[in-house]
Amino acid sequence: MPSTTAKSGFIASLEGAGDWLKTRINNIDIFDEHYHREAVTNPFYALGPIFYLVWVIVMLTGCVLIVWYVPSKAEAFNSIFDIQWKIPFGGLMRGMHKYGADAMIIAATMRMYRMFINADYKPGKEFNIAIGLVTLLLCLYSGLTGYLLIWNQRAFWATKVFATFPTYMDQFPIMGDFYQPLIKSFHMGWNTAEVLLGGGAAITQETITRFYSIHLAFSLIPLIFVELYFYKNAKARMPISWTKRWIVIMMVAVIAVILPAAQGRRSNPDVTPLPILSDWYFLGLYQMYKYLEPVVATEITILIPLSVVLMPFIDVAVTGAEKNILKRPLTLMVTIMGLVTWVLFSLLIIANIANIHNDPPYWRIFFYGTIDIGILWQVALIWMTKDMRERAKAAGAAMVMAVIAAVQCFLGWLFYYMAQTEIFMDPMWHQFCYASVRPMLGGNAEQIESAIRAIVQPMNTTIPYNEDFIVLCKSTFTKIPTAKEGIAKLTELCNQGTPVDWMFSWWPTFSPAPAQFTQPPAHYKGAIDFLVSNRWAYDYVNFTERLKMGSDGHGLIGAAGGGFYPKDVPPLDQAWIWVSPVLLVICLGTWYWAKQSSAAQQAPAPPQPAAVT
Amino acid sequence: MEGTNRRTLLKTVAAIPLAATFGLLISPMLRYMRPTLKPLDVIGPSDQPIAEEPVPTFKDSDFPEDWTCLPFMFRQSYIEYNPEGKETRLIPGFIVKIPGGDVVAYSRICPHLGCIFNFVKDPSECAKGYNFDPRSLTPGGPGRPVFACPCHLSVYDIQNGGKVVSGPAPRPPRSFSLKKEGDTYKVLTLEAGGIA
Repeated sequence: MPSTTAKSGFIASLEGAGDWLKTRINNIDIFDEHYHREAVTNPFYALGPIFYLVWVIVMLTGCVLIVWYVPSKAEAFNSIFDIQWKIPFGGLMRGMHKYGADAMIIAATMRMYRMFINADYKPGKEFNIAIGLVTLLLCLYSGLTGYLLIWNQRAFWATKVFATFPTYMDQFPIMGDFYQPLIKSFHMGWNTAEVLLGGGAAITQETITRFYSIHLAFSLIPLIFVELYFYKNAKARMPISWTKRWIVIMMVAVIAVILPAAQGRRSNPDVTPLPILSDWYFLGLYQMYKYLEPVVATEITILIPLSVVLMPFIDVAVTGAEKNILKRPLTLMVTIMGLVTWVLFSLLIIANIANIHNDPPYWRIFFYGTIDIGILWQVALIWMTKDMRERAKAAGAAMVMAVIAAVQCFLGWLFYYMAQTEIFMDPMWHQFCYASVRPMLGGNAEQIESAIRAIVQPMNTTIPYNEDFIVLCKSTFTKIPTAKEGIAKLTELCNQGTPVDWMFSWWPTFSPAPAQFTQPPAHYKGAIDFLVSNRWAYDYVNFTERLKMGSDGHGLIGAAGGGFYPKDVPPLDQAWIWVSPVLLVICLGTWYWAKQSSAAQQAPAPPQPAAVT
Repeated sequence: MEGTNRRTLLKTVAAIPLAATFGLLISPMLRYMRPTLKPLDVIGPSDQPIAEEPVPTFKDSDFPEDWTCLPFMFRQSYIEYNPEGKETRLIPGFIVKIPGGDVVAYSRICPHLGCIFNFVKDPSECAKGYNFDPRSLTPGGPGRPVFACPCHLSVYDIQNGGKVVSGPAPRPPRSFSLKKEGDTYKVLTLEAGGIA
């Protein structure tokens, strides 16, 4: 119900937001129940009902399986064997359960692609993408919790990887463990992993019990809500004929008979088979984990679903109500990019032909290249518009694309240094902070850096986080003769005052956690003490050292796998790095041009209120 | 209209302490999800696991030549605040004699994502299966054995403190502290962290 009463200020904007939300909630569509007519002629609009049908199959066969399955470490594998071979129709039931689950994931994925290609989220239905994604994620997690229950090698090792990768959240900026002296860390990553594994740092009986209950809950709880939704809205559940239903049921059943669900070998926690694969829908992610730093890979794993949720909003901001996919090239290219990456990554890991050292530049240029083509294509469409009113509307679109190009610029700038020095994320951020404070330190800066060089060889040393740098050096680098002088020099420098001490002196030091709460924490003496103790100075020395090129054209030896720093930025990466500012300029130019055309247009005079007589 | 707003506001205000009370009641229940929590410490870190007797023991004569690599199992007990009080896990490890006479021991649990890595003696096998040729570690030389993980192809240089020489691993494998008594080596404790 739109608010028509004229109000102003905060209340009006709140009501506007409320209306916006209400429209989208009213437009929610879980299983394509608003597309009954389309479903008759276009099978892609029957994907929702098919998904529901297969879900019912999976739940019914699951009910048979739980009668015979024993969720214990010792018996799980045997009971699966009994179900498969000794119980009448057990193999069929298990096969239909497994292939039904696969069918659900296929249907949910295809439905997502259909929604993007046909712009089913327009107008005012953007939430449907998020709901489709939640459906898909629930399927994926049910699959993951389901195949641990078989307790075979693949299940065990896939679960281990799945449970370990959240621990890298502890290395994220702000929410991670890096700021332990400032706030007590939530240990978010480690807690997530322990909760997943059943409260502990190992895959044990508790893990099976927990995954078993989650596996059931992920179907039962949504089932209640879905049935309530259908009941409340009086919607038909499966608007497809019995012939079509039987086709789907038979497809699942026939595959289950022809290709009995595999059981693999009993899990062995002490042997990781080579090569080890996860279930097919996680293969793409698995390949990505080979290519990337684990923290970055974890971040991307979280960013993928978030970007999928954001995509419809970006698309609406760029193309408005347009539904033709050829007039929405940005969405088209992103869709293609996602599909191609997923399929190719999966194929690469199955064939085991990827080279983790040579491939990444190709992936990066493909990733940025497809998005850039989408932006350029979209800009070209704006330039070709004859209609002045349409062109004026395009200013917002150009601005949104300029933001995307700016993000690419920033990533390119960051990557340029990361590729040369192999320093990632947080150390990079530390050295950047140090570099920006450095001018305030006066002549002390050079002395700090030379002292650090005397203590550690930046190339070959791993310095742990969340430990006081000087304390660490005192306990670790005592064998090096120059270290003692360096440490004494550093300790002395820490007492020096600087004009920016006020920014750093209130930070608590790395005192052990329990002491923080029983007694007031110790504080840093000043800027230098903080920068040195938090290893920001060390990260800066390491960074500048690695960027330095000797007179012989070589830098320092010590790159991973042997070799020299600074490393060359691969030409393919240079391409996308240098394209991004050009793209930014083009987008901003288009924005300016569209703005000009809207200014040139004569605004119609606002209607005058009728005079009250 | 205005009156309703005021009522809604008052209701909301009244709900906050109620919600806080229920939240406090629920918070001990978090320990159902994570029995490693210490009582009254919901967001703290877990207790570190401790070694269980008997610890693996080796003799000098077990290592007849350089690069002798012996697998072993290390018993570690994880403290849990559940009826059993603990959960014991076997941590697989490798103890290796490296040229120069030193003996080092590492947990075989890959610090990347927890798979069990292998001892790859033959450099050509590593070059074939793990995207890294250990011959590049000794320019012009025959290369040397490395640890290599089959899951995501991380390779560790054993002689160089387990340094990551290839692949996505963020750090060297966790090492065991060894104690030498006469001609025996005792594997005492494992460096903290990691999922077993």
